[in-house]
Amino acid sequence: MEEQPEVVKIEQKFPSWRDMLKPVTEKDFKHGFYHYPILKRDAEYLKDYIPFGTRDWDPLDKDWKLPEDWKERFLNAFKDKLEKYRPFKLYMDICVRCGACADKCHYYLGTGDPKNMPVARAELLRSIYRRYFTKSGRIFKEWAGARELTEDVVKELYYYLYQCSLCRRCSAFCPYGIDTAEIVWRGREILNSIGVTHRFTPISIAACARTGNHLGLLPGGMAGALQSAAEDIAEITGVEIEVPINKKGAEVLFVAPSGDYFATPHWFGFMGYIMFFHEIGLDYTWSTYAGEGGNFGTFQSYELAKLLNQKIYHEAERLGVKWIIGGECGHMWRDKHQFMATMNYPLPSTLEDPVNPITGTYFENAAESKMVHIAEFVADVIKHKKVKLDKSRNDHWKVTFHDSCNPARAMGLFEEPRYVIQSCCNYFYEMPEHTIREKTYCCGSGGGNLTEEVMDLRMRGGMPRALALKEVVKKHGVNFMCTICAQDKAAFPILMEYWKLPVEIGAMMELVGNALIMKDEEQERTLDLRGNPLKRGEE
Amino acid sequence: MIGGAVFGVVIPYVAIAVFIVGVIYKIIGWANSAVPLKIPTTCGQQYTLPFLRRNIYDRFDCPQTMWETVGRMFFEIFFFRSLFRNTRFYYAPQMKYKDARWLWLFGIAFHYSLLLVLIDHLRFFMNPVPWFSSKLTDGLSLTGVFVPTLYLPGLLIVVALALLWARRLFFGKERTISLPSDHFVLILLLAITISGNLMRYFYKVDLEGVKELILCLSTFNVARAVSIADTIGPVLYIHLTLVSILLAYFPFSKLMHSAGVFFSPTRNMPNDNRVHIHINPWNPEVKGITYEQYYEMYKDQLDEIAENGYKVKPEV
Amino acid sequence: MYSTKYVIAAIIIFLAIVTSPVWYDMASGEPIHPKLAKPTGAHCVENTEWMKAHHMLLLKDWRTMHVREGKVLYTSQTYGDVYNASIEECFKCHRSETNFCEKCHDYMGAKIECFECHTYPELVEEYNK
Repeated sequence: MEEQPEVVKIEQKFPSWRDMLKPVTEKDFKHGFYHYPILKRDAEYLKDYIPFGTRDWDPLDKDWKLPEDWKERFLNAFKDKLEKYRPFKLYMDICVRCGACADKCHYYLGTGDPKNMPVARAELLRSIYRRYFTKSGRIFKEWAGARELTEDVVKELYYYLYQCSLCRRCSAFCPYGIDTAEIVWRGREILNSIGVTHRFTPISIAACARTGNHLGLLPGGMAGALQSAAEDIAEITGVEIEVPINKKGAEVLFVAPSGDYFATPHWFGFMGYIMFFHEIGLDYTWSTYAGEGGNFGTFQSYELAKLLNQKIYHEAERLGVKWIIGGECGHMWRDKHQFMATMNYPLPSTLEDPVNPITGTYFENAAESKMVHIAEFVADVIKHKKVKLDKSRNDHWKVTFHDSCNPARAMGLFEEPRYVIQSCCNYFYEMPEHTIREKTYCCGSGGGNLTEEVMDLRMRGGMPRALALKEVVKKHGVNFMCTICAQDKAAFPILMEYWKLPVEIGAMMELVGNALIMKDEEQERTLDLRGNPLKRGEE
Repeated sequence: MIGGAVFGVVIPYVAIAVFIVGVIYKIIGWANSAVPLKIPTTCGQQYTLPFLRRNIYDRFDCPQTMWETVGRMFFEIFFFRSLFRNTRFYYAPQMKYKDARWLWLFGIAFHYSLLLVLIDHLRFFMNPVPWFSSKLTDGLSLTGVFVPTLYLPGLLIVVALALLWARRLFFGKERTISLPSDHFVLILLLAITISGNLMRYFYKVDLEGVKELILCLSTFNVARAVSIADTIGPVLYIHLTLVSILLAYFPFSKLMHSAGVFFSPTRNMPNDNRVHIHINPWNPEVKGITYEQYYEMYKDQLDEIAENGYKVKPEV
Repeated sequence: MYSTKYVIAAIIIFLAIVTSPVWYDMASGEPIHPKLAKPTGAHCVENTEWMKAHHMLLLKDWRTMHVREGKVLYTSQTYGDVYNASIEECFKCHRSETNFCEKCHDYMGAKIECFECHTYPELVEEYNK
C-alpha cells in the first residue's frame, strides 16, 4: 500500500459504439488492473482443465504465444458452451442494452471505464457470438455489432473478464435477469481452453485439489491452527476446549473457508465457531481432507468447481456424518447452495436429515443437500435460548452489517445473520438502504480478484461500499463492520486503510464468541477475542 | 396490379412466415441447451427458519415454491419489477440515491401502449370485431376534439419511443452501449407508429378495403386479396411494409427478449436449491484426489492426528 | 430438447396468439364484406371512393359551415351540384342507418358519434308510428 494517490480520479469516458468494438490491448493495460498469468507449476497440475498454461507468456507481451489453432479451439469451446448452457446462449441473444445495469457495477463506478459496465463486459463476448454464430452478424459485420476474433480480442477478454467479481448486482437490476457472472464464468472457461488464465485462482485451486484447502495447509498445519485457536480461547476465557478433527462418526461435519484458519480478522470468527460448538455440546468434527468450504473453481470452470466441492460429500460419507454445516463465506455459499448438490448428484446415502440435535429443529430449507449455513444454525440455537449471551460484551463495537454478495443474491440470506448480530450486540446500525440486502455492493475483491497486482482495481471497486460505510461512521460512529465472507474479511481491512475509515472488520461469529457466556467459564471476561479490554454499557 | 400483389399480399405473408418460423426456431434453439445449474437471483429473504418471517416482497423476489416463481415472473413481465428497482448511485456527500426509474416509466409506457394498439388493431383482423377490442378503444379515446377520435395509446407510444430514443442519443452511457441495431429498432418502431397515426388522422385510406384485404389474407383467399390490394391507397403500404420488416427482423434481433424473458434461469427458477436438487443432464465426471491418495501423501501427519484421538488439545 | 413440456406449451401459446385471427375468422363464418343497404340516388355528394375514406371529415365541415359560418349550401367538387349541408340530406338516399352507417361501422369497430344528438330514418319512422 505504498503509492497512494492524493485524490482518486474517476474519469468517465463515453466513446462511440465503434470505439467500443475496438479491443483494448496490452499497450493499454494499466498497472493495478491486469492480472499476472498462470504459474507453470499450477498449469502443470491442472493441465487437464487448463491446457497450454505452461508456455512462457506475460499479458504485457505483444505475442501471447497462443497455440497454433487457438482460434479454432476458442470457437469450438464457445460453441460447446452455447450448447451446454442455456443461460449463456439466452443471454447472448436477449440483451436490449437498456443500460439499467450500467451504473450498478462497483467496478464501473470506481473506474469509469466504459467497458466495465456489465452490459459492455457481456458485449465483448456477444460481439464474437454475433460474428460467428448468427446470420445477421456474418452479413452486416460491424453494423450488427459483430467483430472478428483476433488475438487482440483475446487480450481484451482476458483484461476485462478478470475485472469482474461475479457479484451479480447487475443481475438483480436487469429486466431479464441477465447474469453477468454466468457470462463471465463461461468466458473464462473459453479462455481456459486456449491457456489464457490468470495467476491467482489456479494457485488456490491446485492447492485445494492437492491438500484440501486453498491455502495449501497440510493436515498438521490445520491441526496446529485449531490448537492455536484453542489456546487463544483458553487464554481469554480460561476454558480449555478439545477440538475434534477427522473424527469418524460425528453427527455433523463442519466446513469453513480456509482463510479462517490463519488470516486476521477471520481468526476471531474461527475462535467463535469453536467456542460456540463447544458450548452447545455439538458432536461435530473438522476435516483436513475437506477443510475448505470456499471454491475458487467456481471462478474458473464447472469442472474445476466440481473438482473441489466433491471432496465435501466424499468426506461426509467417509466420516459417516449425518449432515454438514458450512462456515462464513461468500462465494462458498453460491457454490454450496446452488452448485454443489447438482454437481455431485446423487449424494451419498449415508447422510441423514439435517436436524439440529440441540433444538430439534429440522432445517427444511436444506432438506436434500444436507448443508446448513452457520448463520441459520446459530440463529436457531439462539432463538431456542440454548445459549446465554451477554450483549454488553460487545458494547465497544458499534456494528453494521455488510451483506456479502453471494449469500445475498444467490441464497437470500438476509435475516439470519442480522438476527444473530442483533442478539449479540446492543448497537447495530444499517447502512443506506440501496447498499444492503439484495442491492449490496461488492467489497471489490471477489471473484478471483483478491490479489495484490490488481490493488488499484480493488480499491476503486470497493469505493461504493466505503462511501456507504462512511455514511454510518459519520452518523452513528460505527466502528465495526460485520461480514460473513472470508474474502470480505481479507479485502476490507486494506480498503478501510485506503479510504481512511476507522472501522474494524470482523466475523459474525466473533460477535457471538464475545457475547457467549460459557458454562465452564470461571471468571468474568475482561478481554474480547481480540484481546481488547471490554467496555461495558458505554455509550 | 403487381404493386398491390407484392406489397399487399406477398410481403406480409413472407414476413409473418419468417416471424413465426424464426421465433419457434429461436425458442427451440434455446431449449436445446440444458440448464445445468439452478441459478435464481434472490432479491429477498429465503424460505428459512419459522421465526424469520418473509413478507410479500420476499416471497415474490425470492420464490420458494412454484407459485411464488410464477408470481415473480408475472410481476417481472407485467410490471417490469426488476427495472422498478432501478436507483442510481451518486457520489454525493450524503449517500442519497436518486430515483432513476425513468427507464421503467418509458419502458412500461411503450410496452403497454403497444399492447393496447395491438388490441385496437384486432378490429382489422377479426370479423366481427371482438367486444373487448371496441370497448377498449372507446374507453381510451378522447372524443369530441378531433375526427376521428384521438386514440391515446397510439399517441403515447410515439412519445414513449421518442423518449426511449432520446435516452440513447443524449445520455453518455446509453449512447456508448447503443449499437446501430438498437437505433434501427427504435427508428423502425417510430416510423411504424407515426405512419399509423398519420393514416388515422390525416392521410385517409379506405378502411373497409383494408379490412377486406386483411380478412382475405387471414382466410387465405389470395385471389380476392390481390384484386382488393390494388384499390387501396399507398399510405397503407408504407405502414404495412414497415410492419413486415419489423416482423421479419424480430426473430433475429434483440426483440426476442419478449420470448427470452420467460426462459431466463435467474428469474424462472425457484430458490429451493437445497430442498429440490436440480439435475444437470450432462454432469461430467471429475477425478479428484481420493482420501486414500490423500492419506498416502500426508500419512505421517494424518497418523499423528489419529494418535491424538482425533482431537486437538490446547497446550496451556 | 430440454424442459420439453414447457417449451411445447410456450410454442403452442405463441402460435395460438399469432394465428388467432385466422381461427376467429374461420369460426365466425361472417362474410368478408358486409352487405350494405343500397342507396337510392345516382351518386353520392362526392365520388364514392373518396366518400368511403373521408365522409366523416365532410360531415364535420358541413357542421362548421352550417352552424358556425351560417352557410347552408355545399357545392360538390366532383359533380358540381348543390347540396343542403345537413345530415338530413344524406338520408334522402341512405334510407337506413342500421343497414348502412351502423353496419359498416360495426364491421370496422368504429363508433358513430352523429346519432348521439341527430335523428336518423329509423327513429323518425318509429316516432311517426
